[in-house]
Amino acid sequence: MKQLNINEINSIPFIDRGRANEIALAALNEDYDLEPILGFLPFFDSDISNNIIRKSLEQNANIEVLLMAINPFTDRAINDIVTHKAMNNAISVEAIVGKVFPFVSFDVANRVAEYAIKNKCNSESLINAALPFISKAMADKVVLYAIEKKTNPEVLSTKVFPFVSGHIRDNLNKYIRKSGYEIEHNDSCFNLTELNELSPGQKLEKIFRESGIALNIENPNEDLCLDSLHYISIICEIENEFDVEIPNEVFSENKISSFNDFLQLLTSLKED
Amino acid sequence: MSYKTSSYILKTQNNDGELILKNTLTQSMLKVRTDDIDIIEKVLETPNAFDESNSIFSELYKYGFIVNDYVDEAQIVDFLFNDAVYGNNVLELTIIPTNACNFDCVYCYQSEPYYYMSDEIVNRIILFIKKHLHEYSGILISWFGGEPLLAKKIVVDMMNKIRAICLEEKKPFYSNITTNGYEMDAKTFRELVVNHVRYFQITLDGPKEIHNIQRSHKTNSDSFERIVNNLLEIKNKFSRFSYKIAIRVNVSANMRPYINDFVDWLYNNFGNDNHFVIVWEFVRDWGGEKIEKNRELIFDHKTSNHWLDVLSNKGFAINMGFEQTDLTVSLCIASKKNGFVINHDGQIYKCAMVVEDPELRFINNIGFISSNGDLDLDKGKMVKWIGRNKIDKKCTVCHHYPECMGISCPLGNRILNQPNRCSELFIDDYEYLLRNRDVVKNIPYIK
Repeated sequence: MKQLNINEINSIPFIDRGRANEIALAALNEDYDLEPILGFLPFFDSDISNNIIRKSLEQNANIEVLLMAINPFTDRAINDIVTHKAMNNAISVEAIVGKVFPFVSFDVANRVAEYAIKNKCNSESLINAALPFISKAMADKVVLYAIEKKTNPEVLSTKVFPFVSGHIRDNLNKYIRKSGYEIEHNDSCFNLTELNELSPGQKLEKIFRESGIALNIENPNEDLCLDSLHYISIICEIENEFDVEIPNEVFSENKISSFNDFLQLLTSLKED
Repeated sequence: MSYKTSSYILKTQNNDGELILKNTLTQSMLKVRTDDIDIIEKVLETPNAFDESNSIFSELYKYGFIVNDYVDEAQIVDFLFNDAVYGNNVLELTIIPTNACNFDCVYCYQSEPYYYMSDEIVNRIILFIKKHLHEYSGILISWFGGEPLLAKKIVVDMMNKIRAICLEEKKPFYSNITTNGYEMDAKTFRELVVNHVRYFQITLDGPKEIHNIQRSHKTNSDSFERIVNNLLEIKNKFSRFSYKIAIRVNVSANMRPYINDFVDWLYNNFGNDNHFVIVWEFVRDWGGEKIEKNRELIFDHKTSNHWLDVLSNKGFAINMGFEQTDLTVSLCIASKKNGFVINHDGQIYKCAMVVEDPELRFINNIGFISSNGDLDLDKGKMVKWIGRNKIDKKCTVCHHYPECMGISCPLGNRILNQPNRCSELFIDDYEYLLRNRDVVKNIPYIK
């Protein structure tokens, strides 16, 4: 394959559209390697852009470059093909999620969301990118995934409510409240305010969550099996938050192992 | 089912003639009343003559003093060692923010010129933690120097940032600092403890008369008073935090005329507060040239043992490291795959003690922290430090093997190929330590 003149390519943003189209058509018709002009597609007419992508696919162009090249002016069917190819080639899930949602068909958008969950995509990125473009059922799945991944409640409260079904909203409310926030609903928006006066239990839950401990709220007596680093780290945060000292013998003799143990200890120390 | 007695049992008797048992693998301690000693010895000698219906047998079995015949305890120690070195996913960083020091100790190996960590290196370390913390299960940071609190702004700012990153990434973290205590005022102390710096090691070389000579400040002729005032202020102001201040006392023979009064003084000021632990280090002959020139400083064994008992009876805990909830805590970070020393200039080392040793610098300097927040490491050098050499047979049968794991110092064991240097406190003085634990902890009686 022939190689395009780099100086000519780099001039594309600064020349008129007719001349840009001429360069692109020449490249298309004379069997040039098209990868270098994939980044300039918005400067060509859309039928030319579509043809460049089609031919690049035939030329086995780098799929990451192709993925970055799709845009609102390229054909949705072509964007779907590129997106499928990116998923099949195990391109970074965050890269796919960050790029494709506004430009692919409804069906492919849903498949990308499913693929993102399966590949443990960053939940905040997925929520920010996907929700307006996928089905309500898929939005429900995305939000449940985000709750499971303990996504920042502030992100969830501001981005997801309009797109999910009623029972997921209930779950979401529960999760956000347990995270130490209160939601104010009004007709047009959802305001989130951190509670100034959380109960000791809620504050304690927050400390555990921020230390990476997944609590089983249904069973607060469950042994948390904390390793020594988690133990000392949580104790430091409890002391910072509640202005109490956890007595030495408590942790040297492994007297507290469950969430309830910590809560009871805290209550007794506060009473003292 | 057949049984055998654990290979890792220490025994001694307290002043009342009661037997104290410790299993160094399970770290369990039990006390036996004088009337029960014969039967306990019999069960330990012939475990197969008893079974679990016997309450003494079952208690000894429960705490690991008797084990199933198929158990190879040395193999368990090896497993714990390998797990700590290769399987443990905690990031352990020792950070040296400066090599500068305000003291002029007679035995110090560090020298001028002095340097402080630049903003550029601080940012690289923070970027490294931000970028890579998700790969680790938590982070443990040790501050070392020079005197790290001469760079207290760097230390506090970095800990603030690290705390924020850890809370965001939902990772546990903990920190300790080795300082001479001169710059550790109440404000600095508070800023450190809220950022999870909860273990402090401070050295006092005995009473004022000796400390101010051996550990003299460069401009203040009475560094002792300033350090002690700092400690007393901390003691009075910070009862609402869990922290430990280990006051390390290097006890040399020079201290002999003062030791009685000094022990009383220490006890009156810090002995009644369990935030403070006194770590007694008797100057002894560990070999080498320096000690040959300073033989008059050595405390002979008999005298030091006498003082260990005096300290015990005063109620001082003698040595923190003697009992551990996690056996691998005392393993040096140089022998672990995730253990790194970051110097003030961004260079990465394995051993903090010989960072400035020109002969060892090549093998010790394993890489640097790059501007994009990655550790650029020479794996060829790094692997020379990690793990341990072949274990001597006499180590695996030693009662203390689970506590040292056959490697007291990776520099000696892996790099210099020296024989292991056993801790005297473990090997020769464990009886004093057991009695000490009995005094300060009330070891439970076997039922």
